[in-house]
Amino acid sequence: MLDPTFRPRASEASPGATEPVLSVRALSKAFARGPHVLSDVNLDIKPGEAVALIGANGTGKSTLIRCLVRLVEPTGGHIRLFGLEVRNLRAGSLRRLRSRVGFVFQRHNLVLRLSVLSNVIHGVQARMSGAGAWYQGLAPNHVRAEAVAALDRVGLAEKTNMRADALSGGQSQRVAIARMLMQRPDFVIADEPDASLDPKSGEEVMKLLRETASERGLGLIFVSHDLEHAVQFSDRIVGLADGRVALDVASCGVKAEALQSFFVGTSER
Amino acid sequence: MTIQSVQPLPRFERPSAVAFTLWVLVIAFVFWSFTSTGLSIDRLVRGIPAIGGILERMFPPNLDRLDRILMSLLVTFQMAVVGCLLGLVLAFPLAIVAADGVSPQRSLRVLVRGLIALFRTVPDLIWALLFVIAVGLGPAAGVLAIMVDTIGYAGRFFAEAMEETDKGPREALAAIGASRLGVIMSAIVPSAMPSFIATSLFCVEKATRASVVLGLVGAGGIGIELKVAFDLFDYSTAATIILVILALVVTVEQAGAHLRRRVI
Repeated sequence: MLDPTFRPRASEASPGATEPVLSVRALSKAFARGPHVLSDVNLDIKPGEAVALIGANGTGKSTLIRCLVRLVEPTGGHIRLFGLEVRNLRAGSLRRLRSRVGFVFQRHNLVLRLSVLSNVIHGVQARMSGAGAWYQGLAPNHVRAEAVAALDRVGLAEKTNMRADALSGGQSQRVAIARMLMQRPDFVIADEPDASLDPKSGEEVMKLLRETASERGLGLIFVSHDLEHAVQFSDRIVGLADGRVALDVASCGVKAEALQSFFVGTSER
Repeated sequence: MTIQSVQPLPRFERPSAVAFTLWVLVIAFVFWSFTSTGLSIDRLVRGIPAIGGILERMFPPNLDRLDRILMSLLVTFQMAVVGCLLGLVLAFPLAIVAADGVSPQRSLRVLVRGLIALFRTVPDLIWALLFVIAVGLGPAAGVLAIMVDTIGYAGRFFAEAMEETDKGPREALAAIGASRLGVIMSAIVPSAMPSFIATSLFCVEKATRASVVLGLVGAGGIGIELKVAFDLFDYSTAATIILVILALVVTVEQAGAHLRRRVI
């Protein structure tokens, strides 16, 4: 369950001289007949490091994290993840790479007509194919047990048999995190996981996300408009303005109020 | 910009010359169609006594051959069930290939969409005539005709239901490296299930109505009984057949409506 006193230790999260798990160089993205959404983005994330991505609306944050696993195809530059050049991967290799990356979405993206258990079991598709990964009734016992354990980890074991459309926003996001745990990822991306949630639920979701990433030593990059969350749940804060990295500071000692000044002068596109 | 300078849209837009001409042509065609088809109040009024005469000879319905009629009705319903089931089973994979954003290949999608459109646009009576020639008189031809008609109808609506599902769960599964089949079976099919069920129930109702008519061209079932009764001017037996058909169609429609309310 959630530990209210939890605060990640920077020494655990940032192991220092380790090779980056993610390395982005000169990344750019332009949509057809549109301006560049991303220009010359450079970014490194070490194993176990948590990076908060901040910036005004339309500065390219969601595009950047989607480019990392090619949910959006970059226009130029290099992305190295787990030592693999992401842009060079063919379909099969890209699928294998994606299976190692947990992705938590703003809208949680659960299948609303299915049970919570089936939704969590879907996470196993990262490492298992076939009907056993489609629906709880067809899943092997060990998969069902692992899904219930993942739900217990996010504090929702008692909701196992409910339909996903009966959950609150915060509960849905926690189920999405359980689905991510089921995947057993090596790196986690989260796109505004605290958006559309009340302050308490938003903080619980962020705490859970950081806890679960930290206890498994996973690299984490998350987008957040909540500057308190950005400071509290990251080791480093990266700010985007006009599709470029305009800020890259350690979170330790940074005040959320101080980050407000970063938004002055960075306009929405 | 001041509020005085804002010009709201006009209440009605003046049609362009082309649009106006098209409207005039459409209205003229409708009037022409009325005169060409020979429908007139005068003919309708003159036909009422004839209809009255037939209705008079229909009642009371003749129940002498009720057992044979009920057996034919059962065969008719069996034709509908088997044809519809085969059609739905075959429509499902075809719809996956035909659905935009779900189909594995664009050229294959265009091909399958064309096939489904062909199945849908050719009337079931024409399919029945073709299958009577192919497999001979009897219920088998009716089953095949209903199957093809169901593929055309369900294939289109299954595909549209899949296209309209929320993209979020698909993206979530694609993002973790799920296979195309995994995304379809885990995210798309469960989300489209209410539409699948509604479409399937409508198909059963449609097939039941169609199976009655298909007998008229030799594709088995109660339709041939109705044709023979009318050919022999045995209107009281025809009344019995029409009433049992009505009972079957109403029962199937009511059962379908009940299931839709429960399942969706």
